[in-house]
Amino acid sequence: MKQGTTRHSLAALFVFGLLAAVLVAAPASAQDSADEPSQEIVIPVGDGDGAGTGALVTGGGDNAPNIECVWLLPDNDGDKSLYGPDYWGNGMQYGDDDDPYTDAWDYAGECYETRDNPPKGDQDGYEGEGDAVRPLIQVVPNPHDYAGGEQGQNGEQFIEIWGAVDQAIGDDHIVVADVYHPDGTRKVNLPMTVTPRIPNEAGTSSYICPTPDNMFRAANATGQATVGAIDAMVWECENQTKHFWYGAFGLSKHQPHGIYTVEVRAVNTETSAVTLHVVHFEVLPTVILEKDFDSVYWNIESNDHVVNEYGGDLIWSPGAGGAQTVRNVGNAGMAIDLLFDMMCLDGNPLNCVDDIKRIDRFDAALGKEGHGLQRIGDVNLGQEPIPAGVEATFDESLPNVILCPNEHAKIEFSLYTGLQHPGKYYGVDEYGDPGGIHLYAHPSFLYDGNYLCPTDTGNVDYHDYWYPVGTLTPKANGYHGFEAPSE
Amino acid sequence: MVRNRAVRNLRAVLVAVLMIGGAALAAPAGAQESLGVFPSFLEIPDALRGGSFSRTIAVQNFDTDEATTISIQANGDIADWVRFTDPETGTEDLATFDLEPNEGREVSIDFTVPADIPNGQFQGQIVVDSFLGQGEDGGVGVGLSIAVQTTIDVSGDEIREASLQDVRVDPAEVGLDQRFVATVNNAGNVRVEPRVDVVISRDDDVVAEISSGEAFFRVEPAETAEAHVDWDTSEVAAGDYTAAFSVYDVATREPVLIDERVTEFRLEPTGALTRNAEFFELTLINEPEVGGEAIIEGSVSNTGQLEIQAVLDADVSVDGGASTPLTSLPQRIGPGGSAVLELRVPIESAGTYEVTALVNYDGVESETRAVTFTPGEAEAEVPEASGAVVGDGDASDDDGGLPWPLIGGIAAAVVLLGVGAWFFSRRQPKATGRHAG
Repeated sequence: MKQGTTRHSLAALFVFGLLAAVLVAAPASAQDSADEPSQEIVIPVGDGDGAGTGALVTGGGDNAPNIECVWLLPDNDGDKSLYGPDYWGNGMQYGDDDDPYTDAWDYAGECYETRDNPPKGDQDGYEGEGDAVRPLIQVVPNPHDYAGGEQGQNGEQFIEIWGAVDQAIGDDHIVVADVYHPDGTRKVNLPMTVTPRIPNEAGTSSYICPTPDNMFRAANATGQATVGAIDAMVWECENQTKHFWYGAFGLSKHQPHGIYTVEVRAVNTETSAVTLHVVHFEVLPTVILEKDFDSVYWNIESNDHVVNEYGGDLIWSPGAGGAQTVRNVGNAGMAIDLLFDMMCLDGNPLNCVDDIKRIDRFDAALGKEGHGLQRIGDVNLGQEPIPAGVEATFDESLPNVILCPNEHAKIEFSLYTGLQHPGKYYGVDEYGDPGGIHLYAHPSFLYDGNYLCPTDTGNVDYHDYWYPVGTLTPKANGYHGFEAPSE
Repeated sequence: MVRNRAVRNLRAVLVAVLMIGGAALAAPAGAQESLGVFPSFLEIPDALRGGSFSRTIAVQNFDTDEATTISIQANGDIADWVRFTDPETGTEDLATFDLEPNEGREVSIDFTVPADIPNGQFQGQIVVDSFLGQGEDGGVGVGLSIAVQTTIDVSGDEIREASLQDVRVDPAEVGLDQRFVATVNNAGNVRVEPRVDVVISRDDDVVAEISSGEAFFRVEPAETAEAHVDWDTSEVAAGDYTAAFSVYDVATREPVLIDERVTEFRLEPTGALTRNAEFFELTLINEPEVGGEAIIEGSVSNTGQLEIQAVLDADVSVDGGASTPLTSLPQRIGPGGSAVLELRVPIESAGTYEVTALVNYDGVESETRAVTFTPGEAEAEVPEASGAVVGDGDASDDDGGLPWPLIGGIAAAVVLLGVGAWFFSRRQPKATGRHAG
């Protein structure tokens, strides 16, 4: 009897401990969700082959709905909209505010450039991508993908699709969007939602077509819709000949950077006539370097090769002191170079003239989980030490020093002493100012001629849903932030 | 038997506690330093020898607790071709700036290709450095940097590709200037200087012909910018009009027509349009010290239909004494727009400062807001122990702080004692029928 009670107590303690460990570690370890079960919504139009031709195709006869315009918006609510509503500014726009167009605008009706998208060099310097298409917008994923996170607060970056489709009274249309990775594989299929037309109690038009504040301002500011086209589309919606459709999907930092394709299909449900409208957006490559340590310590009791006090580890534990870990929370592969400043007794640059009052030889080691450490400047391996003031590079042809998104690496720093004068040594840079160790991160993504990191290959099999706060119900058409008045 | 069972129980407790403690050690316990830059590549494929162009990067301090100072520099082939400016103004030197926690900023990189270099590909890096501070607790500081790979293909071919992206007529009423705006895109590799000509008609009769004329607008390669011309409506009637835009590039010897566009607009009667602004926040954004300055920001939204020019008018008093007026630089805010107006208050003495401010927009005054603060005393900089300590055998040279493993061990021991005490308090007598030993 008592043994059973004891077993229950042990089991309870074990469960309690395990649960506590999971709950405490959950925010750190569950930053990026595991694979979710697939729940694709299939609309029986299109074949989802990621054609991405950039061409306007109308099929099925004269009853195919006309798609007047499609535009995309990063739904940013970050620094550029601290004081204003959503859409103010448009987040990051590479190069200039939008992509350059060369042909004349058709003011009479089209909202933006022709569908032909003549070849134009890509903007991101990423060879092979984007050379034949022209993205409407450039976006950057958030560095973390906490499920259920609000936009701008460590949730996925949302991208909105807006479309204006001719729709007279009595027309029954559906509009669907397919989004494709840079390599042409499909990312998500989502049904778009029509904005309501609301009877206008006052005013000159019969109806009003509410849309989020500043949405059209952002579409215009990014060169996707002229003022005239917007005015015309709004008028047509209010006079019941056009509808606005919207949809949204998430962009994880684990998904590839490059040029994505969006295919919007408007279907006449009575005749099955289809109109296809293709646009593109670009996900920019980003490098975000993080470290979980503030300082590096040495305590030298003998003249020798001295590894820093705590060494490196793979446990991400921010705070002063402790073992050193670095990681990449960008969306592109990253490598790290480093530079040691000279260390002078008492931090006095004049002391560095004297050999015994100067430490100027170092080595370093870097390696990510499962790949071991790569050492540079290690005399025990027959290498020359790293001199102070000279940027040192790891061999990026080896995978252990290329950090893919969210990968951690341990990093260690050592110095060589001879007959140094006892005392405290401070880092001093080339200008005589306080110095230390500089870590230089830069994009690096090739190993043995092949892309090492999934986000650099153009296709990543990753969930494409978002979870409304407080629920675990995935939604593919996760429009966020706009609650239109009911009809 | 009892002892063994108790030991096994205690081991289980210990395992559970260590799991809790270990998990706590693994959890994010403080700020991590984090620096991000995007994009991580820059490529300019059609740079003209002797030409100028710009690209934009964004720098983000992802640290959740610590501000940092950013410095930007270029190296490699392009090192001498580069200037860093504010994308909004194009004038401020942004080689160095501060970022608060979770703050980001865009930087315009202005390239000027030398006129005397050969065609070819030139490479370098734009290096973004975060401040490398003094090491803590006797350690050496570690700074983060991001290098943006930059490639510029230089040719001697001049490419002119300007387009009229959009036109608009800003809301106006009789008596105010009616502004006509042309948005011009430059996809070439030479500067475009747009001139905006507008013919204004009513009922097919030409009412006015205006031109931006000598006003200087420029659109650099790969940029989009606005050019405008204003119409004096003081002697014009309200009503519906037509504006025919003709936009020319006057950077060439002879003006070249970029495009033409026609739009309708309405000039409202005097008083028909609203001019309204909301002054919704006045904030002290730094920690001022005596001898320094306090930076105060006022946030304003234009909730009216007309563009406004707004300034922050403030009175500054110390310890309730006589007030000193202070005014911010003016800013134009379009309808629906927002702006932050900045005041810099010199802190010349200790005391309690009160800043009372309102927004004055075109002669209209908003409600008043106030902020009160007490500046701190500036601290003399004392060099702290940092770097490596070369010992002479004296253990007292250790300047390190309490390491985290020790903290975690103490916490785990406290929990262990508590749980163990609870567990042993529930020990039952051994079962009957067994030898007590």
